[in-house]
Amino acid sequence: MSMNRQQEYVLSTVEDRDVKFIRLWFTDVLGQLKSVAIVPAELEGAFREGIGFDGSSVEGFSRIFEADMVLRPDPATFALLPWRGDTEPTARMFCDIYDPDGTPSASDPRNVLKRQMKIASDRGFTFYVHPEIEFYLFKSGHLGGQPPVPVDTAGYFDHVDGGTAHNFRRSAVQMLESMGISVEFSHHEAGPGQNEIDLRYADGLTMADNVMTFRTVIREVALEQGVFASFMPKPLIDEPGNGMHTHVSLFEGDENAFYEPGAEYQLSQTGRQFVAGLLEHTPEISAVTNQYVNSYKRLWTGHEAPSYICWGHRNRSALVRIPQYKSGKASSARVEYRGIDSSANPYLTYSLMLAAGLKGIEEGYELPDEAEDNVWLLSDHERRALGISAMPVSLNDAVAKMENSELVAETLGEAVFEFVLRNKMQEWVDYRDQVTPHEYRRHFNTI
Amino acid sequence: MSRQVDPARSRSGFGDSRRARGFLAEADELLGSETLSSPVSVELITQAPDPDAAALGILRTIEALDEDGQRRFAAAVDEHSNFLPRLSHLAGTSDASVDHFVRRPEAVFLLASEDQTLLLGTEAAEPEKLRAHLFEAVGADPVAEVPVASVTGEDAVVALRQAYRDLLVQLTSDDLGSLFANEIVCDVSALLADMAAAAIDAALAVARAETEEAETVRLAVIAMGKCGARELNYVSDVDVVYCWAPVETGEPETSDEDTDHGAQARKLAELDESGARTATKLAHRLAEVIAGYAPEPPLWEVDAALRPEGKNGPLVRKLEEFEHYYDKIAHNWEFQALLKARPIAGDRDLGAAWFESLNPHVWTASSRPGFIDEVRRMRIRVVDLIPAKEAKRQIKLGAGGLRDVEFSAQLLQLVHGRDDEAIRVTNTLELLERLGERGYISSDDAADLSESYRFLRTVEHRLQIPRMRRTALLPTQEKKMRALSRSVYALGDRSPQRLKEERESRSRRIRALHEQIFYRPILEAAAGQGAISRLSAESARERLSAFGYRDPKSAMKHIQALTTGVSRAAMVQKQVLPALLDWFSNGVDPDAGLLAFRRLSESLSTSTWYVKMLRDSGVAAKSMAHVLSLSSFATELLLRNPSAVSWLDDQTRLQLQEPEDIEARLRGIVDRYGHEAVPAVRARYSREVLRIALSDILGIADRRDIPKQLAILMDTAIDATVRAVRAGLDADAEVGEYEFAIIAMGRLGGAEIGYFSDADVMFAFRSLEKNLDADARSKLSSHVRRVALEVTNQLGSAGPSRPIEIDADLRPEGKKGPLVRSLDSYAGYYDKWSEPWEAQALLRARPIAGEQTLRDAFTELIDPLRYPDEVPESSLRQMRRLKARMESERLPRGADPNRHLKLGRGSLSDVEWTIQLLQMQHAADNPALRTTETLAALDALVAAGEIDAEDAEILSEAWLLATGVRSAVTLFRGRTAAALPSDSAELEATARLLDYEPGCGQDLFDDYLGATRRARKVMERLFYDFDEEQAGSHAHAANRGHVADPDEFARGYSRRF
Repeated sequence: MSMNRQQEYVLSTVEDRDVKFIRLWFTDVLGQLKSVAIVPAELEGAFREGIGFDGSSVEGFSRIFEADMVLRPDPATFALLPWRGDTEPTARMFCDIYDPDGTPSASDPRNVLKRQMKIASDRGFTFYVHPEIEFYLFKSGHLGGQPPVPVDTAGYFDHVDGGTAHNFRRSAVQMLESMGISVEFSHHEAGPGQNEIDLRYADGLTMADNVMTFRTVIREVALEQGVFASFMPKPLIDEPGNGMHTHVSLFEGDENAFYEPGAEYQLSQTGRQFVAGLLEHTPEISAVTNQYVNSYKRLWTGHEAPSYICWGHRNRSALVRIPQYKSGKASSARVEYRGIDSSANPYLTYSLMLAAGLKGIEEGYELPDEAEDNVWLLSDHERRALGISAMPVSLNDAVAKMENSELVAETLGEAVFEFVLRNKMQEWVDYRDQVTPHEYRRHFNTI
Repeated sequence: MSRQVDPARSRSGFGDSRRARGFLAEADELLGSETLSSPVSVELITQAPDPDAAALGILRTIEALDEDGQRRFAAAVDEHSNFLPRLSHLAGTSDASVDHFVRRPEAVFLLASEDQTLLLGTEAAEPEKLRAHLFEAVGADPVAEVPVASVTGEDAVVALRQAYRDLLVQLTSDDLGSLFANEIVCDVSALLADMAAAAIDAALAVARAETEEAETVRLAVIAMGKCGARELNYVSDVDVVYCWAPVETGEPETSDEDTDHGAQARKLAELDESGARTATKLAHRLAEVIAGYAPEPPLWEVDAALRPEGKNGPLVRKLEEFEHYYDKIAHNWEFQALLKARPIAGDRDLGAAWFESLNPHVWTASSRPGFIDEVRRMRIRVVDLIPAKEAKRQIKLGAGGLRDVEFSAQLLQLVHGRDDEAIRVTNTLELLERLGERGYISSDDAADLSESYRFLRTVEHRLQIPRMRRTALLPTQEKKMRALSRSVYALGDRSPQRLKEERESRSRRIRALHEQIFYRPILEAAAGQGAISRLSAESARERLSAFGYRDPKSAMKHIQALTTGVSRAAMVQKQVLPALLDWFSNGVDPDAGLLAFRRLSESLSTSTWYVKMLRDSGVAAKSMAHVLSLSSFATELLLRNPSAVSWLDDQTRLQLQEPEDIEARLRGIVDRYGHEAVPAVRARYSREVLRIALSDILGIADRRDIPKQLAILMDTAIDATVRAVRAGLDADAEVGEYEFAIIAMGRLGGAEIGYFSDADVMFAFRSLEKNLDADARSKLSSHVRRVALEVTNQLGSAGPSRPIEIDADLRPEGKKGPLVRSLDSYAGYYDKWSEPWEAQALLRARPIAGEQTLRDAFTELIDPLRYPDEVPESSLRQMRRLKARMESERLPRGADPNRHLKLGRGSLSDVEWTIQLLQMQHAADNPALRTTETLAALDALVAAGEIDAEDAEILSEAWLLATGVRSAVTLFRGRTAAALPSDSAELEATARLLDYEPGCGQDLFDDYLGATRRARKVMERLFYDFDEEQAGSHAHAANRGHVADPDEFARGYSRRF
């Protein structure tokens, strides 16, 4: 069997650059990056036959087939890891996971997304994503029972002279670009020590890979600079959480399917239906888009987090925002979904967003009226009168909503669906079992 | 060799002599001569495939010429002995060529040449010359690095097309003038491909001249398919893809000091966008120049549908985008299209880079697991898509058509080309030759296929030449068929009959070779006849392995054993094995299929009918291959009943038997053999089980009926056995008159058993004697106990036939209670122990053997228990609690609750308990609900309005799927099945047996989990009475938790269900 050009390129680069290790990356069902390191001598075999590994040790992988699973590296994702430097050059590739008989594994999140992208492409659509990823920089990763301490006290768009955040972002952006991930924008966010980096749009699969790389790069740069980066949805009680606002669009061939000149906000019928689908199915997908107990603390403590399911044009409290874009620039028509937080598994999250949107298109959902007001300021009754429902209030609530969702079961596949439900229910139960400092403060001396 | 006049035609040689001669006279008048009407000319013109058309065509051509032209024409006829023959042959075949002369009269003088051929084989036919010729027409410099036309717009379109057609008439004339068209068909096709390439290149030069900013992009046109392989037809879509790249300006990057990555990226993106727009315009215009509307008709379609993402994808792409697509996204069949790709026009360096990068992808992809399988399935689908009406006239797509040859050759290329670069050629004829040379097929087969291919291609060309239309359908009109056969055969018999016969025999050869070509060399290699096939044992094993044989070494041994020797069986097996091997390879476990076939053949090889059936009945052999490769259950039964193989030859013998017929037959056996009848009863039973299994596997029976069929069969066998046993034991027993009955419980009671189900039963008796004393009573009860034991032993003992395991553990008091009870004793027991769960078990009670009066009495006894007037709340609570406990406790350790067929989430027992609960609650008032069968009860509940139709649908879907999976897994494994398989081969086999498409095991997995998940939700609502919100968390608690220290009672109970 012969190697293709991509594989040959990888092999020769490994030799030219004297790469010592190649990390094979894949992602578990919860969105944790997993890595198996091989040495260059094993690389050719990895391309030919894949690398076997024990699936039972990885979250969500062992359910279906109890035998070993196979990693097949995707040579197109080959990149040197810049933080490893020249002393011991190390590279990485993302992998697809296969069952021993050669079928793509049902529990590989990358495969779940590939499947959904294929469904979209069968209908003539390509799915593009552009995320704005927020994270905090703290002084240390060791808490010692105290809340984490941010590296600075700056606010939104502050430019901190010679501050850590600025240096940090510059080296992070350099590192990302050197790994082939284009950065659109980067700035300090509203919270102290909070930063945002926006990645330039790419197709869903590439972007999911990029998000995984992004988190690793950010953590590595933080380590290098002696600080600690956290993507936790809501790390500080009084400060905003880490959202991952995500702009999405569908293309039909060269045409942006969301664009229609002259329509309201230039948003086409297809675009309206896509948004309607997203809104309709938001409650049932939120156990994936907001997958931790902590996620719901971001959603329900203000700071412009979207607690209510509605859309708007300029409305910063809406779940879906139809942004303003330069007229005549058809290709940039898109919608922004603001629910997701930075801890989400991007593969599963994109799969479900895409499925929800496609469902809206397929069934011809009607887009509800635009929410003009700040929905936070409305009373419960006003919101009900306007037909605006709320996001799930807790992980427990989200799991209960997901459990009845055919859309999620179908999109994730029954195996992943079942795993996510069990895992999230367990997380909720573990959380419920806690007795928190808050309870001691409130009750210990008074009851 | 002289040309013969077709004897079937009129003496004049014309169809309508007066009319044709009139045309020629008119033509002569215009020319001021008498040449055309002369006997010599008439003789010549009547040689044309359609002489009438020839005469008319000549006249039309002359009419189009001006006076000067007509003078030149007359001179050409005189000076060039070839001129008139060429024109008449062309006009007598191709209206389209005459049309060209009418539009562009001076083109007719291209035929006036003394040379042997006008274009074919001449210097002018070299690709560069063709290109120069067409470039000249549009005023472009063929040697410029980026040629740009100086003629544009409609003028350019007309000039280009006319220049192309000038070439085309010359080629057509050469082709038609050849005495042995089959031999030059390859050269003709190659020349057509080169002409197409030149035309596209010239069209690009025109597009460049008309498109703004064209100089900023490089564009390469890559041909796929026939043009790529240089085997183009006269008229065929030319499949292309477009690759573009920006022209490097060489300007230094303006570098800002603090580089804004965003802005730079945006700028690059804008450049990209405008470049792509320009390249797209070029591609659009190029296609228009070739095929758009203009005074000179279009040439052919330029079709870019094979591009990445097909019609949805962008028309033009950059090389990286192609690489990304073929790396990550492309379907397997798209690589097949890539196999023939070749850059033909535009930027040569870019085209070469494209080829170098993308071509190796084919060979990487072909090693992917499942690739070969998918390629083969695509072919089957293509054949299926041909309208039946046309299939017989199709020379391209139909069975035995051109596509079969191309496909066989390509498949072998994909299998062996991974390691052998020598066979990586694109042209089909060249490939056949290489495959023969390298021993992948025998050289005889290669030559045979090649000859048939040339013949069919010639016919295809001749079909297209008349109107230059894309077609591969033989005409239905006799007149057209005659013209066709006369244009195919220049010599000898030129009748349509000969064409039909040759075409049929060629197609037959192709079909036969198509089936055998992969495996015949393997047979020879297995037999050690390497000298003949030259396929090495290693290549043979590789091919077997590519086609799914996991242990090619053993397979080779089996093949050797089956085909060695000179027995009749060995000879026949040698004939049929190639096809069988192919069918096995389409199954789930080809190795097992082959081994089973070997075993079966060894036990049947002396039976003449078997050998004959193998040889003559394709259907039987195919069915056998299907059964052997999908069911070890049926295989084992077949090995024990080899004569049943003959049923496969006659599908009516696989129809399920009527219950009455089986009963009558078994009754006959008992009547004849008395107490020795049981072995014969069991033999019969086994055969009927086999019949059911075969009709299940082959999809002859409705799968929903199978469980009931099996149950009825078991009923009958048990009933016959009871009678046989009593015939033996009753005679000397001196226990007086008595009745004896067997009541089926559980699944048998529900008449829904699987292939391996036990018979859950209770035994009952009743004395018909009055005033029986205690002694007599005890004598009778020990006698009936003997009867019950004897029935159990005789049915369950090991032997050549399938056993029936009688299990009476469900009787009152379980193993502690008496094996057989009198009806009175049952009455007493139920009176005392009317526990709700006991009543629930009785919902499935169905008397199946013994005297009807006792059966009826038993039913009457239990009806009030199982259909109570009211079910108290406490009983419902008890049932629910039992069920909940069973869920946590009954599953075997480590079993996945989602996959367990009987006790899993939403599977059999969940559905059945739900229905049974509703039956207990409502059957007292509604006799329609009184059935032991699950689905019948469900239907009745819907009819009675006790359950939503939608809920019922969900329950029955899950139940049917679980039942279907259970029997499919059993059929495949030959053992019982407790769960949806986790092994992927087993899952695949199960899916196939349930009529899923090959490769859809994962779909079955998802369908099963989905169906049972939904059923569980309905069950939790209807059985447990949970509301929706509660249901979720309870389900999880139930799946996770373990109940500590369950009491003995519940454990005993749960064992029974």
